[in-house]
Amino acid sequence: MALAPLSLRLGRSTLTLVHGVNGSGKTTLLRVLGGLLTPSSGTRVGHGAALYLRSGDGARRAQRVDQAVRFAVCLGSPLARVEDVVRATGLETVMGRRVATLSSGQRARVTLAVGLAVSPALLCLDEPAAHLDEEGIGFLRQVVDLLRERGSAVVVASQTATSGLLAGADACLVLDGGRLVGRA
Amino acid sequence: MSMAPLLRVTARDVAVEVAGRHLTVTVLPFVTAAALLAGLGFGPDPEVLRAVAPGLLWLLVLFAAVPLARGVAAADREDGCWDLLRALVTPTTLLAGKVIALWSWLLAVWVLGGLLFGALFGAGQPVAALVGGPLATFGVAIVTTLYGALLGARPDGGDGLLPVLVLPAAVPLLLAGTQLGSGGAAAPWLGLLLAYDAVLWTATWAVFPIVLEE
Repeated sequence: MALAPLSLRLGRSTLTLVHGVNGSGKTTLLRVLGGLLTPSSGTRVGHGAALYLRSGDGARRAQRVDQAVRFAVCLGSPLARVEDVVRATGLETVMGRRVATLSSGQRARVTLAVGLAVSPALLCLDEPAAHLDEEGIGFLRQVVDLLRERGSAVVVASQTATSGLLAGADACLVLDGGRLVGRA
Repeated sequence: MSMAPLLRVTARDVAVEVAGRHLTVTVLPFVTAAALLAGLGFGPDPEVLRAVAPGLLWLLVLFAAVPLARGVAAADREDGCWDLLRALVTPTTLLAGKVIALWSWLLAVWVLGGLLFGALFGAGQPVAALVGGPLATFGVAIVTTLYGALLGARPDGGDGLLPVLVLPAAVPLLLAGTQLGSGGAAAPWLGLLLAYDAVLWTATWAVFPIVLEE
């Protein structure tokens, strides 16, 4: 069993941080919340779309950045504007480039752009700051704020405490060995 | 099922293929080389070459389908897009979008193979074969999409045994395509293709959500 029994309620416009060392169950928890994994017992009740994104995910390597964002906009929130999403994630200068040619940090920003483009009811970001520099972390904060303004619940998993990176979290969970060992 | 998301999935796969050129760099040269080698292997007798051409053409389509299956899910999973697709579209939309994209590649393989066999072996395509070709390639696309989804769902391996388990489902398509290309009676084979495509679609549609589960 990767995760011990756990009860969690995520409201609209909330930010929840999940911390823990490697193998503590963060990714499993986020994939269950994202609807990708079915829990072996218990239930997951969700209202609206849920999306799980790991840093660097969300775009095919052969796609251009604008194609990847447009695809997410069209399927996620067709009223959004690609240009606004690109601007909010600082990808203007690489819009016409193939994802394969981007650095890890730029690909992490494409992941943020895809999350923002879809603006799901629940967005689960797995280690979103892993490859980001200071400027990129600024874009991460901006994307999380924009999503919360739109009513999305955001869950961010990270090995290290990101409370300094993402201020104003509504809850902070600490996992160890698949068990919830701390809650604030 | 809404058509717009389906067309988006198909258009994205087409754009990725055009940019990545997997089909043009890998699959189409394989078809060309196989046609040339078949010509050498079956000897110079034009009668023999014309007789084997229809069966060879459909074997080529089936063999070309195996590398194309990676594009269904494995390539998306490697690039971190499979979860996004599963979240954004319904299993039916994902299945239909992937089948249509794959169908277009298999049609390209079938057309190229037909032209090569026509030019090299002097093997023409009867009218019934021109109707049956799209039907049979559609069936192969459905089987390959199921195989590709199973392959993508099991990135740790299992791809050695999967073609043996899944691709025999394409045998009726191979037989019908070959018979139509050989100038056999058209109506029964076209009927078989229509019925078998319907069965394949229904069965794949029914199991696809289970295949997508982790």
